[in-house]
Amino acid sequence: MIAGTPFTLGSPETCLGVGLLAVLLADMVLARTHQQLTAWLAVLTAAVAMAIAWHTPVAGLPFGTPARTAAIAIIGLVLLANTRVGEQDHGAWSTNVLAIGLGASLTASAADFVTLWLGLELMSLPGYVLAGWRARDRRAAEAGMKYVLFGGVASALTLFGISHLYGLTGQLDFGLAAPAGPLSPTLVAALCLSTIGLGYKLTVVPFHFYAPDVYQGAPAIAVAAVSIAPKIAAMAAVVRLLTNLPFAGADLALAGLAIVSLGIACFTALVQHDARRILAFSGIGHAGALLLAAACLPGQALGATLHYLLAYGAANLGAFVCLWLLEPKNGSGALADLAGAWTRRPGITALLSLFLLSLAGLPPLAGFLAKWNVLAMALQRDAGVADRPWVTWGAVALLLSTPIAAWAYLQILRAAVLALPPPETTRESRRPDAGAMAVLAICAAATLGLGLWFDAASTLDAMAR
Amino acid sequence: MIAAALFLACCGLAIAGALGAALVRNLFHAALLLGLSLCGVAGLYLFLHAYYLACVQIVVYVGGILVLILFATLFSADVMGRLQRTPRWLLALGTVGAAVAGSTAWQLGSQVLAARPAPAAVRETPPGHDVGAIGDLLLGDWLLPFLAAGFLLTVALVGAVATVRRHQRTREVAHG
Amino acid sequence: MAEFGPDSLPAYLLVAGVLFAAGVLAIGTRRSAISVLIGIELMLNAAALQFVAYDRFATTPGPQGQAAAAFVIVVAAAEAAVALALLFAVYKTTRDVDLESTRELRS
Repeated sequence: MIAGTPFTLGSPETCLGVGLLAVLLADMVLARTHQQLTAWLAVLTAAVAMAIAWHTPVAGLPFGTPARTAAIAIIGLVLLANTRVGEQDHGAWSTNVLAIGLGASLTASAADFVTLWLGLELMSLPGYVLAGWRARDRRAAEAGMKYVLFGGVASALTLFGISHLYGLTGQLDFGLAAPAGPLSPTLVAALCLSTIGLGYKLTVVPFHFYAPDVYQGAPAIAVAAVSIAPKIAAMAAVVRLLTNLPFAGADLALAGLAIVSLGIACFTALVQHDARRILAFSGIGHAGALLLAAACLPGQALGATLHYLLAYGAANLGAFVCLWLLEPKNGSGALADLAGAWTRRPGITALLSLFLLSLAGLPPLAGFLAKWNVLAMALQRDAGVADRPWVTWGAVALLLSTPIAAWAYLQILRAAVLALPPPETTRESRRPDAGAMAVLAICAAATLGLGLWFDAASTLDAMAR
Repeated sequence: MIAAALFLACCGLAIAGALGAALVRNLFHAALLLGLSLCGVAGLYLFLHAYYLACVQIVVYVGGILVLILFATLFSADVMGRLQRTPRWLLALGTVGAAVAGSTAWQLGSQVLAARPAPAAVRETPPGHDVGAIGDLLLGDWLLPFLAAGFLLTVALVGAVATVRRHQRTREVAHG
Repeated sequence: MAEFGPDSLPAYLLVAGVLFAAGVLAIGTRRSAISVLIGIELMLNAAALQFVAYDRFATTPGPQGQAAAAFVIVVAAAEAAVALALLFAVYKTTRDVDLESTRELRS
């Protein structure tokens, strides 16, 4: 009766795993002068894995194929943005980022709870390390410690839920675990506990509290690595759980979480004085919107969810890479330290504006169309769609929170574009190289392209169905 | 008779160790009490005929992870817990919570047994046979999670070493 | 009501429940990072014990629970190693791992 998640040699996981070991070996074997090769080897691994993921459907979950591809692509772009090996231990950096990709790939393709839990752990552990990456930095170390402690608690709670689930159903596979008839309250409680890990990765509200601290303390490029790909993968797992274990009230629970996330995120973002903290609350709000899209399942929600993930991923990755290039080298993301970015690096500041406006949901950009799709989905009144008052309220929350959240993004823009730097300071920031510029170009193209691809939801839905 | 007494002893060890680890103010003692609790759980694994897991529990958990935690207590400026002040009401609440959790779990266990279609037959596993079954599963249907666990360990150790090295080598770097 | 003994599932679940509650207690009431670590280990142990107990008393017994418990131990080891490294990093910068005193990150 055990099925587990099948292992095939031609899967992106194999490619990522072999590439990870190769990077590790190359880091040890190659001389210091040839270390650049390890960085490119890591990028190549991610590219090949992405190609494999595109051509290898995830068994039993069509949505998983594009989601897994997107997660690996994001990981590849993060690696491409940071190929300069001048800093120490670049091999370990690449290994950890690739491991996040491996974990994301596993999470997106997991068909049983043990694989799901291990996938989540494989995304988390390298993330903890990356969060504390900056040496001799008090805030980075604190971010890493908080991340590992809270993450450990979330993972232990998840596992506790999974063990009860195993006891109550006698199964660990998603599909087989679904009993006939209504679920008992104990089973629902166990199921809720076992999804905490997913909520933690998605930064949905009761499990979001770590995100602002971690985003603020960790290096911006590390935040890009730990925040986007895991969210895409976790969303794929959520979709898989919803399709395999459909229980009444799922849309209510999801819409409720979405409303709370959207509400808390948009108001808390207003009082922040750090660009990355604002982006953390932005991520919490976007997670709420994603859950709202998932609450509309079935229907065309798969396409809308996928489009939202892509739009959010491109804009967020771009924003973090821009911040990484604009920030002073001590890694402070404070709004005051962004002052004068426009005069120092006008091009990158303009791109940052583009990404932030997309996250805010301004019309020609991807963020607008993504929000529009979710709203259209939630407010749909067809004969075939049952009445879902909670989803409607979720749509209202999304609509109301958008302008408030937009104000928070404008704070970052005001600091970067309008504010003048104190005259005596000469801030040294990172010098953008070709890799980082290529990443920014790809993200900008995606942000514009996804915004003008009007039938994206239905096209992607056909792919993910 | 002796088995029942030993079982009670293991349960007591696990519970007392766990509550002690949670309540004792001295961090070093708390870590040692955790070890006691882990040993109690290892004993319970023996009663559950999971002989292999009992060995792993002692060797890896008590021998490895516990030592790591004992080592970590050195990082605390307040190992002896002189500055720790846990409010009494919180302790009372916690103890009541533990009692409630225990009784809920007992109820749940009875429920699960009652809901089972056949009376849950107790499986007799001779020592040594559990390893083979686990091995078959890990190299068969669960090959993917097994490989993932291997990568998890590799990456965790690479990450841990890189973190420690980066924070230790800072002086060298400052010189060049 | 089942009786408390080595052949009763509720007994094992009771122990696991208390271990879990003790873990929550250690995390909730103490302010040192190390007690949080201890709490996590207690909770993981509770989960592992439940896996094995449920496995033994299952209608179709299989080694799934025991294999899952083995994974738990592996992950606990990996997590402890990473946590120790990050605690070391904090110790290097602040000379303590007290959760109250490490509060640089705020809005």
